[in-house]
Amino acid sequence: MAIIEMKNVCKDFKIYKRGKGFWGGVKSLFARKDEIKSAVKDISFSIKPGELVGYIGSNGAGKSTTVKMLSGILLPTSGDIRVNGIVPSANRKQNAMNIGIVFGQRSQLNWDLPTEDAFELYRRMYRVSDAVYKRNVDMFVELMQMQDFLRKPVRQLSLGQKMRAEISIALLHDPKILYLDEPTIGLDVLVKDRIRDFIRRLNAEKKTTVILTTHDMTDIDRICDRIIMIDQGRLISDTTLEGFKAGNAEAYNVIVEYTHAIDAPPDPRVKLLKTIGEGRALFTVDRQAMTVNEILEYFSRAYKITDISIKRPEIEEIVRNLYQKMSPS
Amino acid sequence: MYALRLYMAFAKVRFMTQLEYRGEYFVRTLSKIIAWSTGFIMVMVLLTRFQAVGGWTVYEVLFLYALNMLTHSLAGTFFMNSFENLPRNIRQGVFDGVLTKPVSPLFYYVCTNVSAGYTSNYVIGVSVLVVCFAKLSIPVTLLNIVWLIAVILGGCLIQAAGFILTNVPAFWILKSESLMTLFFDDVKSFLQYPITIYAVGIQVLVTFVLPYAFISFYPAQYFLGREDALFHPLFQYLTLPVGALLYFVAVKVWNIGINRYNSTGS
Amino acid sequence: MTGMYLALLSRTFRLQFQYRGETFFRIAGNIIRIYIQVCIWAALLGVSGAADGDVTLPDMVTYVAAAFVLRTLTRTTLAHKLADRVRDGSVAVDLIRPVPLIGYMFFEQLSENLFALVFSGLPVIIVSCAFWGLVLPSALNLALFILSALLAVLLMFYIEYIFGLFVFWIKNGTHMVMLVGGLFTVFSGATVPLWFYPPALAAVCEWLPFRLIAFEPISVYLGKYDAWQALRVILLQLVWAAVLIVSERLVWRAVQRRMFIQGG
Repeated sequence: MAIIEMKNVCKDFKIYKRGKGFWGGVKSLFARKDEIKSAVKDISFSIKPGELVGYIGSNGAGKSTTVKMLSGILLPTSGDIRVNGIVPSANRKQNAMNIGIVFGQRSQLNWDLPTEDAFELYRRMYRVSDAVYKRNVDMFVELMQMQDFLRKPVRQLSLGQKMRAEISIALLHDPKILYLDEPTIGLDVLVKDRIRDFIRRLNAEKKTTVILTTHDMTDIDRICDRIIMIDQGRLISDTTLEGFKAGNAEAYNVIVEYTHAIDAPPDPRVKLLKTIGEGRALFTVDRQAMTVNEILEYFSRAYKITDISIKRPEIEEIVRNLYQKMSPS
Repeated sequence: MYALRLYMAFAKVRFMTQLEYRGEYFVRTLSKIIAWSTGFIMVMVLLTRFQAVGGWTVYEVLFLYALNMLTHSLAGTFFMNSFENLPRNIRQGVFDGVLTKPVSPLFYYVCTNVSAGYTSNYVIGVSVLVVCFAKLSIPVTLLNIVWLIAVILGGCLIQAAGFILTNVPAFWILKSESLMTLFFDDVKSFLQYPITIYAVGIQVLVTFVLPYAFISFYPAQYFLGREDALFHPLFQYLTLPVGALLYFVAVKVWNIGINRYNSTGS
Repeated sequence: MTGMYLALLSRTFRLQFQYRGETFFRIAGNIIRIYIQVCIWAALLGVSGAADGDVTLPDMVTYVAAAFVLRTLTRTTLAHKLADRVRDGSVAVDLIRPVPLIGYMFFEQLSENLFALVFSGLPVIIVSCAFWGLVLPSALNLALFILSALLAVLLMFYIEYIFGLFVFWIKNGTHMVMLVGGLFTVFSGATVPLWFYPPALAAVCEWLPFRLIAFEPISVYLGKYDAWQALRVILLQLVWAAVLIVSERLVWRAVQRRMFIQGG
């Protein structure tokens, strides 16, 4: 039985165009042109209880629109959405009890009250029983290490503290589903790690279904079992994490800065993507084929290096590559 | 009961946090007192010099003024912060959170935006009403007191509907702030003086189209024993039903707005 | 420098043009406010007009319209803008900008007010003229009025700005705006000319700068003063401008001290 079911879902927006410059401004005083933009085009997928799903795509791909439709904030233009058996936008209150939602870029908590009091308020709103409340708060405070700032007003928390508080609050009522919209954006590595561990732990203990949108490859690696990728509103791939990695992510981007090249035999496993100006080049290397050690060894033989960086490709890049593969135009 | 307890929890939090910054609370209270008393002061300056406007003496005009101010402040406690900022909250996407809660959107939205800044206004409004009762020798009978409370309640409902209806267009128009300025603040300023000094068209406007005259002018007719209104004397008694009807309409329109937001987003 | 200010002016105008709906609503709102004032004066002077031999209804209509023009030109949101800058921390950048913050903000505000005067003030003046008729001044009075109106703008901007600077201590600009607004209403004579004030209150107004922003320039326009009295008004405005400029420097220095010690 699927807990989330999207069938042929589309979402169109009407956008208004404004004239540019002074006279354009004058003209738009009197006439205005509308334009239809499809944010989500015919997307279908189904998610089973307890799945950890990464929902990825470049900016403006339609990720947030999808999450908003799943949480009942937006109504689809066409298609069918069921979340835990109900239509979210038609039964908003009932749906709210089943879901927890966190927007990384937009805080829900902008009060001057201590974090603890915010918990208390949400407890009342979601009618959480005392036993469940106590058990959850104890668990969240311990796992997210929130003891130090429970009495601090929410407004004064650091970004990382605030995000931990937001996630905890979204989970107070034991929702079956958790939507996380870029939860680790702008956070430092330690906090990111703590949040990732927490989500895995939550999933293991409570079988919470998680849908996560992110731009961070490590988030995907550490949290998700399944990856759904969209681009320009269309679903372009839906695979397991392994399938996704095998298909796309198993490469390193190596940027080398060098004073000069040394005559060494070329390695077929290293592909030059492009040279960036004088003495700088970008290579791609298959992760399966070479270890980091071998990469370093090769480049130190082939170049007199002044600087080197070995990175995994950004999600945007993977999406772009995949999209180009799919529509060779 | 659940709703009431939840409201109390929210209100407590809002009041506590607003009282936390005591320096700021003091400045806010002071500035509100000054801003609202200037209205009273100017009425007094004018009517000390000219005795009457449209046949209404200084305390009669102050009575009008106090009724408007008191109901504005009572309704504003719940609807000012929430609705004045509705256009901005929609533009910035803050409103999304309102739709993911297990309570009615209007209730949640009002609860999280209760204002503690009107306490001084209640005091000024009630004091001026008391002074007017004394100076105008309006008999303090049980009936009059009950009637005054009913009139204030009706006035609050009209004001609340005004806050809601002039800002709900934000669901359709990106920048709708000027609607509230014009159709709430500006049009309501007709009520500072007896509406009989304006052209007939204006009296029709504030009676039938934007019935703000039921907040102060018509109920004041009853207490002052006046019958100088253009329309039927029965209008003096209609504040509460007009308020209930308007508020009902406002909630309906709000729900239409929510549905619209549901299909377009911000 | 001039180039930057011109760019600022054109940017402000473009920005304001985007809010087309607002301009129409503002015109309607302004007409309502002026109409109310005119009705009140008609009702008041109708009863005891005879007692005020030299104040006629056309005088008062003109007074209302002139007060409206001055209010449009002198209205500011400087305190709000300062508060926003303090809250998001961008004021730290302002401190090291090559252009002084006050100059930048004054000009931005002036551009907005000029836009408001042309696109929402002028239509209102035309309507007032058509419906109620306005008193036209002599060329000399008009020139003196324009001069003192400009000084009035400077005075009001400085007052708002100085009050606005207190957001460094109290964090919220709204209440300072309300406070200045309240003081302006009572002491400027913008809604009720000081002729009609009780003597005690009028005496207080004498000692405050607010009447120089509304009542005195309008009196100059209406020809209630001869040339020498008008020059005296302008001189007094200059004295107050000097006082305010010095005060602003003092408060600004206190702000800087606070910034360096507490980091904003």
